[in-house]
Amino acid sequence: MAELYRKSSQFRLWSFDAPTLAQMKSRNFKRSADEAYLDAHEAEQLVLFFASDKLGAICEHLNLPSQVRATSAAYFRRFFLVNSANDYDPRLLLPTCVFLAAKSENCFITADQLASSLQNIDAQRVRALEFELFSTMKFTLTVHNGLWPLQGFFLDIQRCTDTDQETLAAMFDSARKLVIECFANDVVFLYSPSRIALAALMAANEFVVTEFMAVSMDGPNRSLDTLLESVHACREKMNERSQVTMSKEELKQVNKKLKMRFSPDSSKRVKTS
Amino acid sequence: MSTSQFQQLEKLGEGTYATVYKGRNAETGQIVALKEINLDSEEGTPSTAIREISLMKELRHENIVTLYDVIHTENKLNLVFEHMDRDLKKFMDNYGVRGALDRQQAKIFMFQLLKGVMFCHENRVLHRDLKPQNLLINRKGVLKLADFGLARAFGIPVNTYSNEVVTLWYRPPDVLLGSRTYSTSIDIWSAGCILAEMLTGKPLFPGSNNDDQLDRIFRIMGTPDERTWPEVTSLPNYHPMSPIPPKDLALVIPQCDVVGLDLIQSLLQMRPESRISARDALRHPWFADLY
Ligand SMILES: Nc1ncnc2c1ncn2[C@@H]1O[C@H](COP(=O)(O)OP(=O)(O)O)[C@@H](O)[C@H]1O
Ligand SMILES: [Mg+2]
Repeated sequence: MAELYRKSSQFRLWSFDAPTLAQMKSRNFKRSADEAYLDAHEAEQLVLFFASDKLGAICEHLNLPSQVRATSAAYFRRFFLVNSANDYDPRLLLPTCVFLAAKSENCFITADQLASSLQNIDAQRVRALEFELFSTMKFTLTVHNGLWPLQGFFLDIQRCTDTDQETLAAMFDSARKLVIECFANDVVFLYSPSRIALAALMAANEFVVTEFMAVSMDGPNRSLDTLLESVHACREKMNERSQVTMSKEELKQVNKKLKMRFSPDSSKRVKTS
Repeated sequence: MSTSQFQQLEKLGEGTYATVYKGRNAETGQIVALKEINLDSEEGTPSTAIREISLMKELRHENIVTLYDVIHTENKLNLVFEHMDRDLKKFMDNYGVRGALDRQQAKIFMFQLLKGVMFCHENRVLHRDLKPQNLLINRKGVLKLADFGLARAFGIPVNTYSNEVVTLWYRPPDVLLGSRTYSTSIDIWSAGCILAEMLTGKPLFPGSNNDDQLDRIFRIMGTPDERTWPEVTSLPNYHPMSPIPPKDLALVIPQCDVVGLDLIQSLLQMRPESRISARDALRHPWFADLY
C-alpha cells in the first residue's frame, strides 16, 4: 500500500514538506496598490473556503460521491498552488475541477448539469478552462485519498481487537467524516493517504487505535514512536478541518474584492481564461 | 507546446476511438506516435482519454508504452507516445506463417505480455481491453501494453469508427454471462486467447454477438455447471443448455507443446476464481528456458 503510493504521481509531484508548501503558497503574490488585488492570506482563505464549503455544496446538490469531492478538492488546491487567484477566477475553476474530477472518477456529469447547479456560470465557461487545469497539473489526474486506506485499517483493527462492534462502528463513522472534512486541508500535500486515515482513526478513538498500532506496527524495522509522532502531527493539522479561519463577514469582503477583480468591466486588468 | 512542434507523418493505425500518426519532433528529430483525439464540443475531453492519460501517468514499466506529453489544439488533443514499430495483429500478419508465430517468438511475447499485466494488477489497474491490436511491438522485439482507457471508461458513448466495433473475442465467459464482480481474471482470459491466437494465427473465439461468443467458448471449453463452476446458474445471462464436453486443447491448438497447453488451460479457466494470476503464470514451467 505505502509502497504503491510512493510510486504515484501524487507522491512524486504533489507532496511537499511544510516549508516548501508555505513557499509555494506565497510565491505568486506581490505587493500591490490595486484595491482589487488579493494578498496571499486573503487568496488562501478564499481558496480553502471554495475547496471545502462551496465544493461540499456542489457535491451535495449534484449527489456526487465522496471520491469525486476528494479529487475535485485536490485539483483545485493543486491549481492554486501553481497559479494565483488574482489571475484565475476561483469561481470558474471550481466547477471545472468538478467536471474533470467526475470524468476521471468514472462518474460522468455533463457540463450543463454542472452549470445549472451554479449561479452565473454557463457550461461553455466550465469547459473552457479544462485544458488549462489539465496541463497545470502536468496531466496527473489520479488522486489517492484517505478513504480507501481507512477501510483497510478498519478491517485490520476489527481483526485484532475485542472492542465491541458498536464502538468500532462509531469510530469508523467519525473517522470517515473527518477524512472528508479534510479533503481541502493542507494534510493532503503533507502526508500520505494512509497516514491521514490513521490520524483520523486516532482522533476518533485514541485508545483502540494506539493499542492496534502497538500490536501490529511495532517491529525491528520501524519505530512505533516515530510513527506515532507523525500520526499525532497529522491529526493536529486535521483538527483545523477546512482551515478556514476568516469570519463570514471577512470572507464576504474578500469575495467582493474578487468580484471587482473579475467583473466584466475590469477585464483589462486580468485574463479571465 | 504546440503540435507544430511535431511534424505529422504517415498514419500508424486507427482504433476504436482515435487515429494514431507517426510524428517527428522538429527540434530533436525524435520520432513519436501521436494519438489524435477529437474534443467534444459539449463535453470537452472524452472520458476515455481522461482515463487513459490518468493511468499512463501512473504506470511506468518497460512493458507498458510510455506517454511523453499531451498537446492541445483548438478542437483536438494529441497524446504523444513513444513510437512503436507495429501492433501485434500487424506483426502476426506480416511475419507469421498464415498469421501464426513460431513457438519461441510466441513464448517471448507472452512472457512480456504477462509482465505488463502483472504490473498493472499490482497497481490495481485492470486493462480490460487486451487484444492483439492493443499490444505494440518495437524494433527490438519488445512488447508493450497500450490503449488504456477504452474499456474502463463509461458514461457518454464516444464516436466509434464503424470499421472496428468493440470486440467481444477476448471477453471471458463470466463477463459474457453478465457477472459484474470480475477483477484481474478478466485480463488473464484475454491473455489466454491471445496466446492461442499467436500460435495458430487465428482468433480462438471469433464470436459475432454475445450469444455466439458464449456458444463458441462452450463448444471448445465445454459447458459449465454448478459442479465445475459454483453459482454459474445464478448469473444474469445464464440459460440452461444441453451439456457439451470440453475439447482436447491439443486438437484445437496443435502448434503447442504439452507444457504450453497446460499454461493455456490455466489461463482459460471458465470459472474466474480458478484462473491463474499473472504472477503465477510467469512462473509456469513453459517459461523455464527464458530465465
Ligand atoms: N505508440 C504507437 N506506436 C505505433 N503504433 C501505434 C501506437 N499507438 C497506437 N498505434 C496504432 O494505432 C492503433 C490504434 O491505437 P489505440 O491506442 O489502440 O487507439 P484506440 O483507443 O482508438 O483503439 C493501434 O492498434 C496501433 O496499430
Ligand atoms: Mg485500440
